[in-house]
Amino acid sequence: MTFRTKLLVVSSLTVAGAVALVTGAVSVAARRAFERVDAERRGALLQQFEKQIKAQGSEVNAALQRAGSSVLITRMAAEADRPDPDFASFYSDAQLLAQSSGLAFFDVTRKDLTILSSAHWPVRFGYKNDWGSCGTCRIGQAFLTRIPMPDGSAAVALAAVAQQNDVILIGGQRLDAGFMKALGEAPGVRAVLCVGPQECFDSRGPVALSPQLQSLIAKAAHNNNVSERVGDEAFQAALLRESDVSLGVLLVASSLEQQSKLESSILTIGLWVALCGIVLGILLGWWTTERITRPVNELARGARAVAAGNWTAKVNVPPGDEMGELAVAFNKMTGELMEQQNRALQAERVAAWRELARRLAHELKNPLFPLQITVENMQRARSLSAQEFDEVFQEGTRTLLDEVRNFKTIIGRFSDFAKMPAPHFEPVNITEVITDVLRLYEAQLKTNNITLHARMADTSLRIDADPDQLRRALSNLTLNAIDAMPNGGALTFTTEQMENAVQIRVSDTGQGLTQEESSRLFTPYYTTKQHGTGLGLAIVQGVVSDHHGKITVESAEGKGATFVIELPIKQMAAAQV
Amino acid sequence: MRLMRYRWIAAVVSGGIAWSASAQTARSHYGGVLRVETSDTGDAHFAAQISETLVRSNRHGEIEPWLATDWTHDFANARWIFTARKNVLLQNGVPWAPSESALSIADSKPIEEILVESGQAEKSLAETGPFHVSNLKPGQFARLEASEKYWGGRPFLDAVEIQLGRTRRDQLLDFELGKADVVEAEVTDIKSLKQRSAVVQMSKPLETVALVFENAAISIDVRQALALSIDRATIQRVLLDKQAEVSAALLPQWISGYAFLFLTPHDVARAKELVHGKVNLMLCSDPNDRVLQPVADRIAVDASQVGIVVHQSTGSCDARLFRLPIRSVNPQQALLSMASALHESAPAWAQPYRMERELLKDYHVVPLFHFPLVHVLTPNVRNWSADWNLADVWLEATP
Repeated sequence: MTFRTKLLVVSSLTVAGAVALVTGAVSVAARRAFERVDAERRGALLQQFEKQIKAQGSEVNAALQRAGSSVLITRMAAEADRPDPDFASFYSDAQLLAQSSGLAFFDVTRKDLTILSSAHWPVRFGYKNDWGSCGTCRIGQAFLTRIPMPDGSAAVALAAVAQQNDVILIGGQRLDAGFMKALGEAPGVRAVLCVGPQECFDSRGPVALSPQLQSLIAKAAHNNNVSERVGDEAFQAALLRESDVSLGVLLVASSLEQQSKLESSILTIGLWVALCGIVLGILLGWWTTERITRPVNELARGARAVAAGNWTAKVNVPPGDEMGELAVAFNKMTGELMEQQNRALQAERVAAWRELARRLAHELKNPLFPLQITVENMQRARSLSAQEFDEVFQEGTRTLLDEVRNFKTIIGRFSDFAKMPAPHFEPVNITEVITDVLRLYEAQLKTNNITLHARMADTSLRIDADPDQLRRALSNLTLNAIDAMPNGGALTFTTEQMENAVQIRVSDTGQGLTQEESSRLFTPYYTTKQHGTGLGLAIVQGVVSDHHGKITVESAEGKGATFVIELPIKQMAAAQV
Repeated sequence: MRLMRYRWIAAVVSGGIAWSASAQTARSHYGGVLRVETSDTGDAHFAAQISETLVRSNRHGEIEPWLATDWTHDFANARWIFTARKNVLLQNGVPWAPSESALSIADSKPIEEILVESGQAEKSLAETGPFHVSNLKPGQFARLEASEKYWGGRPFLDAVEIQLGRTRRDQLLDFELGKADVVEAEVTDIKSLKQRSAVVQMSKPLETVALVFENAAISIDVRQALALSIDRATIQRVLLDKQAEVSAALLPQWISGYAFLFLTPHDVARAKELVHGKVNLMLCSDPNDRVLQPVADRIAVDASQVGIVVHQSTGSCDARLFRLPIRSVNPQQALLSMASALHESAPAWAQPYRMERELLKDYHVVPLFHFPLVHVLTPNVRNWSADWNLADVWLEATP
């Protein structure tokens, strides 16, 4: 992952995280505010319910008082005293009284609560009223009660009791949809009254409760007052009790629709802000990273150029910040490296020239001494007889010619190294080239008591190479190995095919090389031999280098040496690399 | 016993006759069309005005000759030979000529049983009655026209138009609007009708209100408990305006003479002992019946006191509250008819008391009340009787 990518990811995550944090905080704050308002609205409706109970209770009381003064009640009071009252005579009187007083429930009873006439259940005459509380003990007080109905169900009603002479008037108003409607629900708030397991209604009529609400009602029956969120509404369940008898549960619900909408809006806005922030962060990050990574890239490019050998590479970064200072330091470093390299090159040249001079002196001094001896012998031979002089002269001239040839050979070698031609690449069977070289030196190897081993990986393997230069390089290595094993040994040629190259290993069992010798081995004119020019391995390195390959040596003192050559199979690809 | 019953019958019917006598101060008048309405949808009321049987029971419950003038054993004492009445014509004017087999009945059972069976409406032999049907829309309307050559003499009325299947509320409405001359009314309407000076004719009890258990799975204990829980007297006094008779018998006292032997205890304590745990019971009754509906409600209230929860239903029923019309004042004929209406197997021929005991065993049927038939008449209708003897009815000419 690049620095730029990392920076973009970090900036995007930072923006998104910040927006998420703000969005969450705003949502929580909004939710709490809504919950507080909802609780107040529900509380207001509960208070309104209690007020409505009181107000309607007063109305029921007033209605009973009015009914008590009617002629029907007076007549019933007169009849009620009789041990066997004529129920038929006032069978429907309670219904008439209920209609005139606007009450849903109206029972006229004797003092012992025996029903003389009932409005909602006329056939119940003669039986005891069981919903008028204790009768006369609650006169004037409105109370909630559960009234049994003819169909076996029960209605919850707001009831009151009045007494007129010897009869008790018990009336009530049903808590039904009409009652709930009179509560005057505020928008978004509704009340549901449940007076039985499946008997719930609100201001619009019967309501079917979900299993969650039924569960809430069951909780309210135990805990009196429970609040819970169900679906899109927040519910508060309050238990209705009268004299320790549970009459029902009032559910007050406030809609969470607005809250949900607000939360949704906050979330949407948050998402958009986060999206815009991320986009902005990416753009800003791009711009920032462009400014930061451009000098870094410049530095990287300069470093790669230096690594490729371009010591003159410069980094063009405007100064003024840390990257500018780094660029200046880099340029200064390359400059110093250049100077140091020049100095090293000069020193190496001087050393090479010195070595060349020493080698030339050494190479030229060796033939000069026989020349000097020969010339001096020939000068001294002038005093000898002509026959003896001829013999000396003949011997001297032969020696002179030999040494002159020797001079020519030495000069030819130097000349060849100087004139190393560019290779002409062609497909070459590497096995055949090695076989040719070994065949050339077969006799010499036998003479030197050297055993030859060859392990070829693929005899048909062909590489792009100059066959003459390759033979020359391998010949040099073979001669080098022969020189390294004056007392015999083993010479091993091994080839191995690699991914895009072929590896040639030439191993001898000679005395090996020291670490210092190994490091200087490919320096021109450096040799460990008494009569070497120091150009053999330099030529090998030159050939390998011209073939875009590399050569290394693996050796330890007393354990022989192995020269490892790696040559590319295809020169085009190698040249590009 | 039989004489005792006849005395009862004579006394009971005397009320109606007294009313008729007062109405017959004017001379009988021929002609006119009588418009009658009934809640019944069948032809049970007027079938006897069209088709006739060999014998019939009269208003006193006695079997009297009708199409047969007398009956006697054959020489071998193996068959009863009925003598056909002469000069009887069919509705198409052809003389009635029954086959010998129709007038010969094997002597395989007592003659009383043979005579009762022969007097049942379904045993009618031929359409030889005082009226014949000129227009019939089953369940809705029937028009009967007088048979001019009826062997008993031409009826007073020219025709009778009968609206069938009308609710009693609609009948009263039609009566108020002058669309009918004779309509039915409820016992609970009597007081208000009399207050309005309407001509109300109330028969002796001719309808039995009973609770019939249709679900065989209801145990006898529960059935008995429900019967014991019902306070018949209070219902009669308050809900029925004292216009019905409290009874635990199928036949009213004035027909059977033994109804008082069937007791009507209201024993809540005993009923509670018979009910174990809470029992739910579906009770059906006609929701349009203004009289039976509050009775059913009160039964539910009474039953709740002994642990039986009665739910009113119009669908599947464990028990049903309904009216059983008494088609004959002959006790055995009436019981056979009731058994048929109740889908009960007909009791073995015996004295009426035994037959009724047989029908009421195991509390499958719990009689509660006997209702009179109440008819409201226009003032010009004369000789109307609850048994629909239309041949005697005549209309006083309006000035």
